[in-house]
Amino acid sequence: MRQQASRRSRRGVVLLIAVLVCLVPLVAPPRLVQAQGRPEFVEDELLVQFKRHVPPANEAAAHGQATAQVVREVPGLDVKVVKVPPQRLAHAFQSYQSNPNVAYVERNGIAYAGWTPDDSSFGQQWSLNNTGLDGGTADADIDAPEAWDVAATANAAATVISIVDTGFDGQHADLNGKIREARNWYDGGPTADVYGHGTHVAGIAAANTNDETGIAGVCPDCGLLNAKVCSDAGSCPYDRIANGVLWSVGCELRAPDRGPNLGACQGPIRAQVINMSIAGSSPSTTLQKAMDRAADRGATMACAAGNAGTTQAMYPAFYSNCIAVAATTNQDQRASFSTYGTWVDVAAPGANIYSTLIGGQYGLMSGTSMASPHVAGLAGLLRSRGIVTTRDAIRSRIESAADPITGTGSLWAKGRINACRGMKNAPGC
Amino acid sequence: MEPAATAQPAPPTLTILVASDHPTYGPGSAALFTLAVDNPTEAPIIITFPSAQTYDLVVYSGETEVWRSSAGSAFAAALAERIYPPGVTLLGRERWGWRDTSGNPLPPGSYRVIGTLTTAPPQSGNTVEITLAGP
Repeated sequence: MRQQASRRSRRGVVLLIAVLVCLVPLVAPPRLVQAQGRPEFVEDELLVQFKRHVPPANEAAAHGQATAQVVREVPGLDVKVVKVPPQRLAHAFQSYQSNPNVAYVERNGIAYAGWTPDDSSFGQQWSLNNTGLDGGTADADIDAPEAWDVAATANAAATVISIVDTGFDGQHADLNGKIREARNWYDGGPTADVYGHGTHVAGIAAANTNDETGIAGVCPDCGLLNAKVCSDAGSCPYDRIANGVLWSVGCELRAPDRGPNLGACQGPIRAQVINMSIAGSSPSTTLQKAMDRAADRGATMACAAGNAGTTQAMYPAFYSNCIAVAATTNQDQRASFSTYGTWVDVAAPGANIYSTLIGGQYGLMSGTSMASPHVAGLAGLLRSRGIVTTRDAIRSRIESAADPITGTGSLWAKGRINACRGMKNAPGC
Repeated sequence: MEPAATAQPAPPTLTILVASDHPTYGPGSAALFTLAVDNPTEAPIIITFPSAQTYDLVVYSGETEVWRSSAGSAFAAALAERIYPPGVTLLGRERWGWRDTSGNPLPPGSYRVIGTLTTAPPQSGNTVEITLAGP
């Protein structure tokens, strides 16, 4: 009984929807619907299919009545693409629909590349897809959804990003299963993130994506290496950073056969990308040598340019083997705290970035620390999908595909990174 | 005609304090510095730091910087808010063995020590004079 009633009411709903669908073009002119700031339809075009065996003269008469012109067609379906003045679109639609020779008429929709993940808080990640909310500028982002749309090539390779930082919470729902190895280079203790920095950084780079939970990471397919090199107060001595970097590429052990040079690295390459969201004001030969070694092993490195708000050189970002990253706002402007200058290679979103926090939480943080993992994530994405796979090619692609936003050439050398352009190696994202 | 801008009261500020455990040191004895901040108001003060670093300690010989406590360290580069209650809060202690940043021993003489709260822009505190006596 209940089933019958339910079926009956379902039938009623279907009927009602059918009636409404038929009525819509009659009662209201088709409107230009904006999808995330972009039109959903071509504003002055309709798609029309005539019934079979309709004489050409009748088709021409139908176009005339609709004040439309055939501009293209889909020959395989015998569908005509007709152009009408936008203000006459509703009239034309109605004219075709009421013509007995017409099989159907519909608006010419626009599909956009851009798989949108189902992570529950994806809407808060303006850095990946800026819709203009919260005072932001639409599209002042790295175009991540459009980048994720690019399929993997035959060169796709398993890729790990090393988070050289305060440790991170590998049990966080959005990082669980991502961790490949963890080691505390600071004092040999636990690798957990007490300060609450590395967890945020790791989430930006490679959080579990499209899992209906929390956030999306720039590189959905990347694994993560937890190289804890900082104290639980966020201070990171250079010798510990050097060890963490060397461990990431399997060069942490003293080579038994070393001669004038350091000899061959003894361990496996654990990570192909290294992120360092840390900055110090003094240079260090030890740190530079460690990074040179990592570069020789093929690692792409991204470093926070620092938050001094000046042009002061900061390390390790200043070393040429690392991509130095400044921070931008949701309006594509330099974040006021960000270090800048022509020594800084690229910019990436870094103000009010939503990501994973310790204790299974989520929240906003700001800093070039947040900008750098966007670049590391993009490096991982390029490699994991096999778009470009070598250190030099990855860096070159990231830099050449950056959007030349205001400040490019003075505040940073190459622009704000654009993952879509990087993946497609073409403009138009 | 209205003024273009209304004068705002200056925000409450913290004062950084540095003290050494002795004014004069003999050969081989390291200096111990204590750094603290004083909140002179009756309410907590919230300060945003550009990174995990809260202070820096710099030693000068004349006008030349010879040692900096943060040399050899990087810091987590995310903005960090810290709350300082009314009164004095200990920031940290630093031990210095009379060597420059490169590790070279320094000659006997007078040195100046200045502590800095690493806000943006940085805020410097008092200067402490210390002396390394000759053998």
